[in-house]
Amino acid sequence: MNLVLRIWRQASAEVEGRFEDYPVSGISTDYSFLEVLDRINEDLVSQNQEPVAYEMDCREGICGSCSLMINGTPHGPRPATTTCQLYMRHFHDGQTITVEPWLSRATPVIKDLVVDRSALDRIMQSAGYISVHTGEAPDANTIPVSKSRADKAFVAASCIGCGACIAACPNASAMLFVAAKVTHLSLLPQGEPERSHRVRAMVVAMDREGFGNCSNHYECAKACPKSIPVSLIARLNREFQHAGLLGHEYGGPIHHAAHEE
Amino acid sequence: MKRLLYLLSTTIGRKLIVALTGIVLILFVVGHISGNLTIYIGQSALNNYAHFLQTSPMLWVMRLSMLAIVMLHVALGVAVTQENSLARPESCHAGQSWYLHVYQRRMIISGLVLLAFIAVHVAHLTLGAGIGEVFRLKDASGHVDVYSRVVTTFQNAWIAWAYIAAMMFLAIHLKHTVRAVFQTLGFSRESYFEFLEFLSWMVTLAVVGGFISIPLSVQLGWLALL
Amino acid sequence: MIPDAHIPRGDLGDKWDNCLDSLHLLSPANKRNRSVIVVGTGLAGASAAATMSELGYRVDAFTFHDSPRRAHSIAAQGGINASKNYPNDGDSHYRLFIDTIKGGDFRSREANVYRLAQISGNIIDQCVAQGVPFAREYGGYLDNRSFGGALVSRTFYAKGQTGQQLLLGAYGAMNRQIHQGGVRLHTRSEMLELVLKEGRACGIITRNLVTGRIRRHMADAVVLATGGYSNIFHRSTNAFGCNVTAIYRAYKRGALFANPCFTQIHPTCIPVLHEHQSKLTLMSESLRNHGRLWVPKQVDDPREPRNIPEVERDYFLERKYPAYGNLSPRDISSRTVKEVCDEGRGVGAMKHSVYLDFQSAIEEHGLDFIEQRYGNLFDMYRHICNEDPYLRPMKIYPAAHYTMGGLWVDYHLMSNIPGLFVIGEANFSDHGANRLGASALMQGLADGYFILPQTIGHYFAEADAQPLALDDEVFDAAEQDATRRINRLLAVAGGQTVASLHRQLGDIMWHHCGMSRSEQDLCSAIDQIQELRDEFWKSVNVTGTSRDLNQTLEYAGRVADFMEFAELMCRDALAREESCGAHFREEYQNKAEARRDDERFSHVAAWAYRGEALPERFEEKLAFECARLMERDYR
Repeated sequence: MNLVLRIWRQASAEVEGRFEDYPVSGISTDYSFLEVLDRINEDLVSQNQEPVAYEMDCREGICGSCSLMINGTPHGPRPATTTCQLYMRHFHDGQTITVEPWLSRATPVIKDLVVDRSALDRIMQSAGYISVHTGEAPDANTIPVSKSRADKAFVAASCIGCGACIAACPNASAMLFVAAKVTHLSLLPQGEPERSHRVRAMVVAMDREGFGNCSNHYECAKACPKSIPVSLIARLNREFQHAGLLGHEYGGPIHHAAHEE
Repeated sequence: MKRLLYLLSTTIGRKLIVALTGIVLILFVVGHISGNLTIYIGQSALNNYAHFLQTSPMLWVMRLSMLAIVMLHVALGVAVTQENSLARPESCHAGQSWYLHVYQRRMIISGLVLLAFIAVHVAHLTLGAGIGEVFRLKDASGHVDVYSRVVTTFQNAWIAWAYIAAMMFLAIHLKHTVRAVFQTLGFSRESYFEFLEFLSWMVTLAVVGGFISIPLSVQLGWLALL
Repeated sequence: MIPDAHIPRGDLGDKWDNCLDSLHLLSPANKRNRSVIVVGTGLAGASAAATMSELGYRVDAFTFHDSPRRAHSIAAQGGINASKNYPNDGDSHYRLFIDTIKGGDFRSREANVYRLAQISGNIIDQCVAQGVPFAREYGGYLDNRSFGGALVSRTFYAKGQTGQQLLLGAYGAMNRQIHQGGVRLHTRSEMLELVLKEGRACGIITRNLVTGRIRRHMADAVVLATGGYSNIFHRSTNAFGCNVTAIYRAYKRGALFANPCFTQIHPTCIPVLHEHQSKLTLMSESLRNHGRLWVPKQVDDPREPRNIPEVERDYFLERKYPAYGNLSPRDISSRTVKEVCDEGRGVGAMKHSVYLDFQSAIEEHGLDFIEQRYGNLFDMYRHICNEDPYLRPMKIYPAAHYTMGGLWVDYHLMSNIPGLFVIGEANFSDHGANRLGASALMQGLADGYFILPQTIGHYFAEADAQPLALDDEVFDAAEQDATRRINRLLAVAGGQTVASLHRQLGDIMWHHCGMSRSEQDLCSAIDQIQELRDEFWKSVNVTGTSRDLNQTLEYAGRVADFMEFAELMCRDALAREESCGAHFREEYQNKAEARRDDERFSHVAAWAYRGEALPERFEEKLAFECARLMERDYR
């Protein structure tokens, strides 16, 4: 295959970016999308030019590092697939493919295709956990959890935190991400004691980061490489309204820790 | 009150209020169209219905609360949209088509068109701006002759088609709303989606179809002055 | 010299308790005055950082990722072992211990492994309490499966994403401490040097990968939880970032490197389809429960697999190991696959894969059964290879997967450098010469949640806090070393890419120090590595500057360390004149079966860096009091 990749280049957050075209030839259909970028980068280095910065790590669709907007779609055209597991047989010979970073106010560009997704971690740090000291736990089988409930929690917990939902959303909303994280812990009996506080703290943290609102376009779920269902957003709404209107912990302070680097 | 303010301070809370006021507005348009359809029963039916409304002791309470609800709905809708455009400053991806871009912003666009329409509509058919003599007509039983007012107005092709066009925006707005309301209120599961989609279409077609049918019927001569 | 391993007194079952009883304790007020640096935030690092912060220590955690949850622990699929005996099938601490010792081919410490088995159950308790959604049965209780040929069902799992779920649990525990201020998280920070003061670990030098800023960090102890070095083979199942740099830097500062040649090659991976392929994706080992491995009997058989009649197929594992057949342990399976491919009977475009065939299983159990059990794995295969495994048998080949070797640690998980602790895959301790399936997660979490947070207090109680400042000369020197290396890499400006040099190194290692090794191959590998290393420093091309995000520079630094470490790996393989576990020396075999030499090699080999001179090899004798030394026989 011969292709042209039109890639967003931006030396740093402070300078303007632009698209540049990179023709690449002799690509086998068995190449993954990232291997095409690798080829382009090797060629660039051989010509003493700076390669395209982009993020990846595991290349097996689980670490959530890869993050490209390919022809306007996060993680490219195939549903339920991360960029690292996208193969070139889903493109056609001679195609020009546009590659952009996942831009939003809450996820600014660092360089080229690399964006800063630390906002997601700050949301998690606000309350995305169950407070249990090491050593406190009772025997694992003390509390039975129905299989259907555990399976539902697992579906929510399979979120890889890549941020495709935010990239796909016309409002750059992080609702699907937060919904997945809140649902995972709220469905399990172990997460029950902090349920009300957790959802409030995480929503407040989400708002602080400058993500948009959910306006029910459901683009997020279509882009999600792990097929997290959009019904979880309804669940998040319900959890939050319940906690905000009826939660007995209402009024309790929500602290935010300072973060370094 | 404290809790309401708390809700207003969060994005989900603001959206909840948009949805709740939206529900009232949906119920209002459903009521509105049900009343309007009495036009097909005959002149006196519509005029009696209008008389009942106008003489109701609750008239101003209803009018003022509807005004408040519309204002809240619009104000929060606009605020939410502004937040959204802030959240995504570079609104259009290079790889994204312009019509998708417009489509994704259809709620604010149709919403603002509807706001303008409501203003014009109230001035026009409720306050009588630009209608002239017909506005003061009474029917045989001495009630205000709303029937003649409506039919005369829609005999003007420009006005009729402008109303129909405005109703298209209502269709766009409503179609999105019904399922979204359930989602925002938290009553949504994968297994409901098909039904909610169906419900969205039904409500939209019924309401908008009803509204459109009146100017259309007048234009086609099915409804005429008696 | 290897220091004492501090194995506690008493019966095997009492050793950990005796150790806990004898540890010196710190008062809560003193704990707050002690600081710890944790490098790496995978299962071991995150769990250790969280638990130490819960105890009151001030923790600084470092990851080169943008988030702790990107660590490669997240990719572990299969599960985590624990001797809970929930299925009531006769499991016990002892059985888990003996399976692990035997699986490791008697090259691990009895006391460490027994402790691992004892703690395994607590890990499951802890993870469930954190909200890890393990698979459950309809009654609501935890489900177990048998894994990697174990005779009991002791593996807890969360679909094929156990590592992800456990890491999210540990990440949550750490997030809670970050929120409370006990852990300071430093993301996108790569450790470049270990800093010692008077022989004790007292800090690290890091590079911020976004700004390029070199920073000094000091603490009363340093914990390395930086994972394994399978990427030395260039293509492996590891993530791209996995590297040896942190532990290799520590080695160069005096830490002993134990058993570097013990590297596990996993048998069931998706083979290389083209030359620029960057990744070998692991297919769950569970496939071997119903899939049968075969190659054509005839060399270079051009026929479609379905057109090859039964009699002309060689079901090589069933033939050679009738007792375990397709379920033979990882090292044996991998080696046999390589053997048949070396005979020229490999299949696929590059002639180095074997068929994994489900046809007879489908005939026996029905398509539905197979689909239900392996549907998602089949989908994954179809997605990557664009072939339907229901119609054509899968093609698989072994790939480097895990490194049992690592920095030497004592029973307290402290290296020979006081104050330097090493946990998880980065240390050498529990897996001996070969790791069993579902044991890596167990070890990482045992180290991080339950062992290190206890033993580190003992070190603090024994060693007084040293007065130290960031402008101390030891930091000056270490920072200079780090900067000098970066500048040296940038200054070469040669004609070869880092990736191509890494590829060449990977080729040498895979062919000479991979699944099967010989004196001749290893000697030639050492020569080739030395040549390649010279070439690297003459011809590597690192573009850009050191003052911003420069992924080429990061990569070059890691490959530069691989270039040096590769030689150590080969030297260790050369010195170990026996075959054990994943280490197979062609000279030491009985009719193609590994021949262990317990007389001469029942020890841990620990290497000390000696500068320009050759590294020095030390031995820690392994005594087996409970486990009876026996030959691993899966025939």
